[in-house]
Amino acid sequence: MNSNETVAEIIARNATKHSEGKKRTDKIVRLVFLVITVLCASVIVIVLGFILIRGLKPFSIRYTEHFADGKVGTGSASFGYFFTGTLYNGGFDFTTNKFLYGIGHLIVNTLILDFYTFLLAIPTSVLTALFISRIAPKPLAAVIKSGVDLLAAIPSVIFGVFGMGVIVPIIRSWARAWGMKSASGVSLLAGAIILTLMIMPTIISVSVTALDSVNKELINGSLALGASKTQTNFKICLRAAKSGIFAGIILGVGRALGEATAISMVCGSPIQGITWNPFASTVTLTSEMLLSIGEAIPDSMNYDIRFSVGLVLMIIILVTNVTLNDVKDHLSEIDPPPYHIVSFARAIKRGVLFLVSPLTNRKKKKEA
Amino acid sequence: MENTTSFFDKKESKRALRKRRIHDFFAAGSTYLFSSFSIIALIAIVVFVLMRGWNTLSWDFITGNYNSTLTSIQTDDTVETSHNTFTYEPKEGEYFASNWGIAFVDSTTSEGNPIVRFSYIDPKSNTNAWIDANTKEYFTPKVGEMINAATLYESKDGGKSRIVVGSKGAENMAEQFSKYNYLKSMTVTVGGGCIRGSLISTLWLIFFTLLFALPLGIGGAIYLGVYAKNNALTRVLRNAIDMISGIPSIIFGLVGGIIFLPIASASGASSGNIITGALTLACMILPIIIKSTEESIRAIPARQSQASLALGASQTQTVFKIILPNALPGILTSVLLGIGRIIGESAALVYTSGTMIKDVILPTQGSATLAVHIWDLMSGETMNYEASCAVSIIILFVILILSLLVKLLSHHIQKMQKGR
Repeated sequence: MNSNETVAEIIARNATKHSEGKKRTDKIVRLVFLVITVLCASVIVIVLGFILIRGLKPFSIRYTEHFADGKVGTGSASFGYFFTGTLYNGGFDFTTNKFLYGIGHLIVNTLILDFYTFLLAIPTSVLTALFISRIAPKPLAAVIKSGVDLLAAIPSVIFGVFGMGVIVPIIRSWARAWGMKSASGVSLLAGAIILTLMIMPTIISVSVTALDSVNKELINGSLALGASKTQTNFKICLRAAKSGIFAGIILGVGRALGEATAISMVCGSPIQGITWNPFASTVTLTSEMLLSIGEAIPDSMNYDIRFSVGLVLMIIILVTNVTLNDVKDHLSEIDPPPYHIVSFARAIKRGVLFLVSPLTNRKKKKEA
Repeated sequence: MENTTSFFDKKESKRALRKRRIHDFFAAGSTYLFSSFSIIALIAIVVFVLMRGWNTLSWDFITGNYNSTLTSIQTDDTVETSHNTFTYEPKEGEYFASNWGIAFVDSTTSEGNPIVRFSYIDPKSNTNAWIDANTKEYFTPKVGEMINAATLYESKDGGKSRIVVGSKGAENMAEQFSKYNYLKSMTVTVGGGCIRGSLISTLWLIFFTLLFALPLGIGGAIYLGVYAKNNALTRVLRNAIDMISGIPSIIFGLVGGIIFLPIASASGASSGNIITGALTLACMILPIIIKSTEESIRAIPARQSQASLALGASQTQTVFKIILPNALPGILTSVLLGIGRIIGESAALVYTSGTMIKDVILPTQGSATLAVHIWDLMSGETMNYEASCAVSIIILFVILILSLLVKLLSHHIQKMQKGR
């Protein structure tokens, strides 16, 4: 220790040393937390990356498989048949040496199921949200809201059991009463009803938030102009909250597309081809992925093709999300578009509009 | 002239008002109708599950094994077993052997094969002389146990003997039992179809998932809630974490399967096990943990951490001694939400932790959780509604309690925010 230093100087030196050490630990701790956060965020990159790489593998690598009749096939999956084929496991084509796995019908059936679901879910959830937010007396609204919250917490297996035990028999009896053919009630309609129950809570809770935050002045203005309460609810509140409601619907779409367990239970056995009949059984991308997974051997064609199906599912979810977000932004013109990919979606939309333009033009001419 | 127009106007406006009232009535009524739909659905689910599952649910069901055990029974020769007459009113489908005081009923095994079960055993029946051949202890048959086969004798020292098998039906069995008074040996299937193994593997899965997910999730929440500046990096991280919750669980299952299974097989496990399942689920519940923890970190009054800093504590000390303890309600909320998610998850686990229902549970081996147990019961040839509804009752009960606790905790956090 230097004897020339005063006591005050020694204290000051120690204090700076101390605080410098503290600062260093602070920096290290901050870095550790940053690394943890990056690790958490990288989950999405890893999942998407693996799905992409493994999803393309069946088309690029040759698989060897032994068939029941003693033949041995070596080849990759046929890319064209994958999207256009309507038979999931079409076997092996020995002339071109390609595995024939087709999911064209699965894609369309998934979209049809979601279409039916939203036909049921949108009116139900929007009106329920309106009831909770604007019409119901407070205690009743609280009861319904906690009921909806509980519905959201029920696992999908239980929805599946409920669907098989209640919805399916009801549909079977309806089908019999109306003389429709139905595979014991296991049907597209049962899937749509179960999915509706599953996505309703999501749409309702987001819509309620949107409806609650509607500008009070808007409502008071409408009432002051002589509109009745119901007219105000339907014509002012719903319109003012439409962008929020749409956000809820977008969340619901994601959940509906990705649901697997309940759908594989109530929608029935694998079928070939596309079905619009609500009483017919159907199979979707997710339920095909779950079916007979126990029998699939890792690193075989039958196992790896599921990643390709998963990749297609992710692409469908991404595209619908992006397009719906674009639509939502158009609904709520005030907000600027938050996604960079929106421009891509807009390009698709313009393309569609261009294709449809002859039709719309003709209509306009007729009107003129 | 003026009078008439005003008269018509009044009439018109009255008509318009009435029209509007009718219109309003139906519009408002439709909201009542549709909002009752979700409540009706909820009640229907609960009632269905309770009605179908309540009778199956018992303490034995929760603590019993899934796999049944075959027990061979011998009789104690010294005990007199004959010539009693018991009275019992057989219900429909039951067949009664009056000399034994035992009624039989047709049933099926869990694989769907025909078998005979005990449906009634008279309390005074001579079954107390039955001995388990392996353990040499007395064996007490219970109602519901399955009889695979039995060897019957006419008299004590042998004589005419007869073998009856369970697959031939209850009527045949009751008939043979009535004819013969002595039992030489019998094989009975004991227990089975219970859920202890699945329950334990669910608990293991919850433990491991939280073990993996909590440190990561809380760390991420602390960074985002305390350190992160509002810049591009933070926004990217936030968006990425939000996007995780948009990925369907079946995709997590697929990816978890290929990432974690090779690691598991390298460390000796043969296939998917509880730990690989837990790692997959940990990735899935990360966004839940980060969101609710960060929320409660943001609810901590700024003056608390400022006071800590002003007293000379470093940022690190403030984080660990002020912010973390105060964020405890949020962390607890995230744990509860996470448990709810883990209990209900099935699609991801089918790929990563296997669908085999087991009785001996090791974290390094694959076994079904409660939700996968239901999936297993329902995806077989014969659907077992009773057992799956009984399991559903347990899951629903746990979820109800969890959501009540979450409500309480969020109430607590709101109070904290108000006290700011």
